[in-house]
Amino acid sequence: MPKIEIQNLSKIFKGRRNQENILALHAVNLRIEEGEFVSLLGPSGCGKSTLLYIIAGFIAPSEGQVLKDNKPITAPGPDRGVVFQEFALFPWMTVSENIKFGLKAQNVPTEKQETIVDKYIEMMHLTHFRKAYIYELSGGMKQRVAIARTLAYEPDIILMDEPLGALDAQTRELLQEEILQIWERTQKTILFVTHSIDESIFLSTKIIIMSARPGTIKEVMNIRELFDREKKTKSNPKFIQFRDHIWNIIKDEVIKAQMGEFQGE
Amino acid sequence: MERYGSIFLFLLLWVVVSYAGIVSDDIIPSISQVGSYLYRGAVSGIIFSHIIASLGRSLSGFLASLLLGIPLGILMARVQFLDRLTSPLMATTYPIPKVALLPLFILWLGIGFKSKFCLVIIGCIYPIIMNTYQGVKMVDKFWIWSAQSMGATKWRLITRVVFPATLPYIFVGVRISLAISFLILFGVEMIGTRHGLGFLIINAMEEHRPDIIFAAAFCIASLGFSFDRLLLFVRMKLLLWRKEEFTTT
Amino acid sequence: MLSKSFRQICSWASENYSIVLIIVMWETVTRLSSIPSFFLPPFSSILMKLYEMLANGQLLPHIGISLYRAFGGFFMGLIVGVPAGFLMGRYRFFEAFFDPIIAFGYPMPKIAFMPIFMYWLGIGHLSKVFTIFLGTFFPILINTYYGVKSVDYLLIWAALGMGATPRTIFRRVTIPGAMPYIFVGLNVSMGVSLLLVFFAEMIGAESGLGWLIIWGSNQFDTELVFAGILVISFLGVFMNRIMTAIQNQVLEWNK
Repeated sequence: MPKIEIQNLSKIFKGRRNQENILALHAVNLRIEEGEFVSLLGPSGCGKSTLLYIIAGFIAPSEGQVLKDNKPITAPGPDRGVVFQEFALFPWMTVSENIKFGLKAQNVPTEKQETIVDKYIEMMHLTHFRKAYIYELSGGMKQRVAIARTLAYEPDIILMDEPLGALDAQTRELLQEEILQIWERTQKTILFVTHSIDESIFLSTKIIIMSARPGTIKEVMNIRELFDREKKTKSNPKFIQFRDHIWNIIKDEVIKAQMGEFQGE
Repeated sequence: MERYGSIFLFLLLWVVVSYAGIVSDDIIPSISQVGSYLYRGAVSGIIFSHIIASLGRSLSGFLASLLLGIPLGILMARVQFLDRLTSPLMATTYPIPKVALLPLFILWLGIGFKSKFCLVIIGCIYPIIMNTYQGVKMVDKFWIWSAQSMGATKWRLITRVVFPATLPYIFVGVRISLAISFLILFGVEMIGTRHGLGFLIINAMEEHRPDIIFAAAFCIASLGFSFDRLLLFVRMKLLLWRKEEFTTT
Repeated sequence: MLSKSFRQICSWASENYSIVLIIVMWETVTRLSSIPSFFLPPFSSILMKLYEMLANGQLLPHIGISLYRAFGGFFMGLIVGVPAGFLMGRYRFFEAFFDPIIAFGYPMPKIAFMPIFMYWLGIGHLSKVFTIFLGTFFPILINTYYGVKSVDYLLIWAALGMGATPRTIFRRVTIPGAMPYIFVGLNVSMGVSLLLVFFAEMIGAESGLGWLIIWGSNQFDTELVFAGILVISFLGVFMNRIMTAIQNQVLEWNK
């Protein structure tokens, strides 16, 4: 049984006053198995974030449904953790209070809360920042806190919406490796939205390539079969080969998306 | 030191004008006259009783408007039905000078404390509601989504997320509201009361005691200033998670 | 022509249906129940009183006087406040000069100056005008100051790079840049001037709308009081609309 199954999903956003309705997603069918690291790759505006938010339960689909463990998703919940691009950390709480939020919401007993917080603070290299407020942290640290916060209450699936998009290139590289390690360590199912082809090849076991708006699945590439994980470094010729291959698939869509924006869609 | 330069200049001007006899001290009392009245008033406790009377009225009205206004603002922003009902009403009635209601309240509630109290509440509640409302509307939707995703109940969402996130905006409203409470109160005390700084000042005018007028005005100014500073201090303590709040404006 | 204004009224009514609802409820409740009209007169009788006062010339002079005082104070605040704000934004010296004045003066309830002005200037127009001046001066000053400060220094550098003189920069970069803030200050000050004029007139005056309604209150003439409140409300809303419309017109580019 797939962990997540998306059946014939469409999403229309109603236009305000003088604007037309927007067809964001069209007839999306998808399967995500447990333990996979799946990347959603596509041009701007293709609806990949929308798809993620529908799986998370923030937005309702217009047509079709999303099933998790064979049950339809209707609302957000602690079984699906979300990490946002802009971190969405609570600035009025310290790092440890942020991490504890999910635990408190789940009524985890207080002593256990502390142990869990300790564990993830260590895992995400946040040891000296336990009592810090968010404004004191750099971008990379903030995202680490966001990830720790989501991991702490142990959701079944982790949904990430371009989590590294707001970071500088160097921090981004560092965090990519850390995320990969976390995945290997926790064996969680991860759905990862990104713009970056490199990132998706590096991190995932499966890449789902989306078309420009209205978003549909253009192609599904099974990375795990194509690579032996040891050799999946960015300088590996195979890596570069696939990067080009994927770029060729995606390029038209990117151009289409940009032209669409230009024409004031 | 130089920050207060213009104040010193002003004081200097005052001293010069009164001692050089440029203006008779019937019109502009000298510093010593004002000072001596303040001193005598403070010692005899008269001034304090007036101050307490004024503060009691304005602060109680102010606090009442907070207790009513903040929850109202939050509810209006989060309950769609309420929002659509009340928003146009608030927007339209906002430019009305609330002081116009004073004669009506006096008619209904007599000239005593109750009418004044109601006016203070009505005057203060608008900025509170509007700023709280705006603050809630501007809460980052990703914060709300995060909390919901982590399984927070509605109550936890409002108390641990929406309310703290709105607090900076609420403070803007609170600050305005505090100033308004003083404004309304001192003005209203000039119409038919027997205690309070407003009464003191208008009475002094009728009795041709410019020293009392100035003394009372000075008290009013100091109170306004001190409470504003007090509020800023409270804000700094409550909002120390915001790096910008460490400035003093 | 009649049908056009009728349509306008209808569209206003549908947007502000809660007010219409209140008026309708007001009328029915007062007509049907036994609430004494001394306490809450029916809306229609308030309108009639209003019409009556307009017709016999009682109302207009007071409106005129109030507006005269309010605008007087407002324009004084404008004429003094805007240049002062520019000076304050441009020169450190003035910034240091005005800063403490604002720190002490701004939180002070300006109405407290009324007795001082009444003592010096009597119960006539000037005492109100000066009080209002103090009330409008500060918001205008502060907003103009912030407006000047807010002008992106990159824009100024760009202008300098293109060879503009300080005078030109001031005229064509700083002033337009500060305009949005200045207009906010003007809008706020307009409201303040109305508030203060009515308040001041209730405290010590022999004419004006504020005086009129407090007099009405003393006479237990509830209809007069309500009529006055209606006029004041209308003035407040109307002036606000005008200021906002002017703001939008002048600041077309800021959208």
